[in-house]
Amino acid sequence: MSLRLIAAAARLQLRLIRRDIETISPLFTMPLSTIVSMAIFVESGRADLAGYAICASFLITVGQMALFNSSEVITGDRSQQRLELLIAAPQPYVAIVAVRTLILTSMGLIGFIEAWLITHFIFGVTVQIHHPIVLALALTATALSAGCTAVLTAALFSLTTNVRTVQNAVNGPFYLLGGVLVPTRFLPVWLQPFSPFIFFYWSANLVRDSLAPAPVTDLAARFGWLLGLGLLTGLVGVFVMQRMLNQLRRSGKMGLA
Amino acid sequence: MSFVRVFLQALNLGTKDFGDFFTLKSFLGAWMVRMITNALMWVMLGQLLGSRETLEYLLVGVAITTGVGSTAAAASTWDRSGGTYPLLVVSPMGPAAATLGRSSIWALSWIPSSILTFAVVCWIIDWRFPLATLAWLPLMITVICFGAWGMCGFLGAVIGGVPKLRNIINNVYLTVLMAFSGISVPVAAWPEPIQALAQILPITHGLAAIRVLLAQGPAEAVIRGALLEILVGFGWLALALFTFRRLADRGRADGSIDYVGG
Repeated sequence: MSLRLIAAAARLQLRLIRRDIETISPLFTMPLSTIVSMAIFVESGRADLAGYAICASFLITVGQMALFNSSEVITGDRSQQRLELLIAAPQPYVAIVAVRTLILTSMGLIGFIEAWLITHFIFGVTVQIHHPIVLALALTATALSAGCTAVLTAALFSLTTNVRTVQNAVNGPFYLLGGVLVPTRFLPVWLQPFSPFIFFYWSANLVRDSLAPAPVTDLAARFGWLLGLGLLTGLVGVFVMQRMLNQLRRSGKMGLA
Repeated sequence: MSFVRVFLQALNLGTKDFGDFFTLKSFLGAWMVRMITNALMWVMLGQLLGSRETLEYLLVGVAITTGVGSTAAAASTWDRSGGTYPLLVVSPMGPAAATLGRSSIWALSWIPSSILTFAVVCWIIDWRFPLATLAWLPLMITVICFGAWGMCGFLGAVIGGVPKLRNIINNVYLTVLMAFSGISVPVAAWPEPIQALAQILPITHGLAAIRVLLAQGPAEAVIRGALLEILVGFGWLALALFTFRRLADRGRADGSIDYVGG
């Protein structure tokens, strides 16, 4: 994948964002959930849990960017009649999609900053970042894994006629089982075994731990799981996308939407 | 009368919109899964905070209102992206009845969604509410949905002028309700200006009444809350009708009723 391809794909995505602000709508709405979770913490006299509120808002922002906005990259190309042209070009389409989903999920990092600012300015609670390097790595790895996941969901969604159904079905369980707001050990016991297979589970624990004073242990294994799950999903995504494109070619529906 | 007729025809169109999004299977298997898991995520905060009281407060607030207020305001722009809005503006009836009717299907869907979410989350948490309240609960939930729909009508009219922000405005609305309407924390926990705002927000009065109902408090307090909620709903609807007219007049004058790509 050449640098020029990456730059061109990035430029395309940024132009699409500029044309339709809804492409990045979670950045304007999801961090606001910090107000709700912080209000609950403050009301219960547990403002010290502010890091949990920030972590949840960040992950939900990235999650919405991945599951909703990035996942519609291919559907958008198809409905705007760009798909045939992009497929006909000599560069691999999957690379173009991956760059664009990564850009969108990386923008979710802004959600962390917004959430931090909300706890600071609205609630007067300043969340200390005790392990900045771990935090930076956790945020980056989360955006990367989310981008990879979106390659798979984008491919899957472009095949189904009812995208919203799938988006609705996966998004809630993802947040609940990933323990983005409430660590999974507080969930009903029968729900807990699924959690380690969701990358959010690893992200959430790393982000929360990086904001707490205690040393963060077992870094290699935890980052291994976080990135491993993301990359694995991405690989499955590449495979599914090839199959999906072949199917569209065979059925002659590439340009239809 | 003709307002009602247009409204009902538009509602019929709305059922087709709804059918595009959901079948019974996908409503139960996808939408409800999202609602229940989302409510459960917030309710579990009670577990994290180690307080059964907080858990039950969140259970009633969040499980009953999850999804209430969603989509209806955003759906008000679908005539703009469908290219039919200018026709509604030039029709003698104007766009209000048609737009409110078309988007009201979503408000109707909130009622079963809310009842089901509350029932399932109660079952998971093993919380038994007094059975004597069972007959009144669906009615009170319907009242809340009416209030929330009234404000959606107003927001829908506003969004008609800025259709590109439809989902952003709709989602900010949901968060405002969740934060300030007594869903997640008591209204009294906020500074006074926000408390004053909460009085004219939907859900505030209706949900407070539901809390009284579930605690088997005085019937007068429940009825008063329900009536206030209905009043708030009608207030927003009146404002919606005014805004629809203003927007249509302005659009006719400056040509801003044009087609907006979806």
